[in-house]
Amino acid sequence: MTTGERAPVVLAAPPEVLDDDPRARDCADPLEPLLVPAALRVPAALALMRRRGLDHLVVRDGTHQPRVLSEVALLRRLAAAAGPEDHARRALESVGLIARAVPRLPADMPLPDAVAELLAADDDMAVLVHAGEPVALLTAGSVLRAIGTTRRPGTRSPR
Amino acid sequence: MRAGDIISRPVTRVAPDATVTEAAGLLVEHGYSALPVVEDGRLVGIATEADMVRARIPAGDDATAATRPAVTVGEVMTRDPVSRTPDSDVADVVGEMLDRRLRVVPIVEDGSLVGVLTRRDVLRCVAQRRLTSADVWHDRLDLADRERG
Repeated sequence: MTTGERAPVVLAAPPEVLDDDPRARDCADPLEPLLVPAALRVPAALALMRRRGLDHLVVRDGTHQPRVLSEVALLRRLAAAAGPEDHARRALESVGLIARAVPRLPADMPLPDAVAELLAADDDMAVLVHAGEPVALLTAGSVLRAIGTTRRPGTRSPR
Repeated sequence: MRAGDIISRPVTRVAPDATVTEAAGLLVEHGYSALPVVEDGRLVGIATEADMVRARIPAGDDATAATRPAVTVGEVMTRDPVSRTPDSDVADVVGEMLDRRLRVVPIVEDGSLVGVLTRRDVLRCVAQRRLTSADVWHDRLDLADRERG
């Protein structure tokens, strides 16, 4: 080996991607405020969503695989009741029975790539994972917020 | 970027006198979250999945509501919905979607519905790196400059 030469630094992505693309986690909602226990009942979940203006909740059941519950999924489940008695029974279910698994993506993935993964999975949300731990929820809504409300005319760029 | 460049078309639409069950079937069949409601060729409303499922949930102790037949789309839709033209800037439409919590914005030209801009259409642009927050920012600055003079 010749003297004084350094091995080239290997980047995880081309420099232009590092410069231009936000990370998925920068555009996602932190998981903590969305977390609810699997035993929470449907009416309490709906009330919580409306009180906090949330479209989704993340159901934690003691595993590292949190599942997601949307308001529409809750309403759909209630609407599918076969009659008043069935409706009353469904209204007392716990959210752990209704929540569904969603794709898991690396939290530091470039946003466009994460969105491409969502589209490929035909889903509109994903749990973002860092060091094996779920850290944030990326949804279609959070992507729109990220591109639409970061900066407004007359304000300075945050960077 | 213009809305007309990325909208979904042709548009699946529904009449206000269609039943919620019929409309819900269309949503499921096509995987949509909302349908434009059109009467005599004119956009009169938008019916979302949430509107439709809420219509099927009995309120309080109304034991007959769950089995009540034939609720129509016209009864549950949002009237006079926000719409834009094909020339509208995508960044502005995204702002409108965010401000009003819309999933779908009908695109209308000369009074006729020509397409819908959905969240999925916008996501596709983001995935293809055709739309970034910087684009939105610059478009809004340009718009503000034009408005100033």
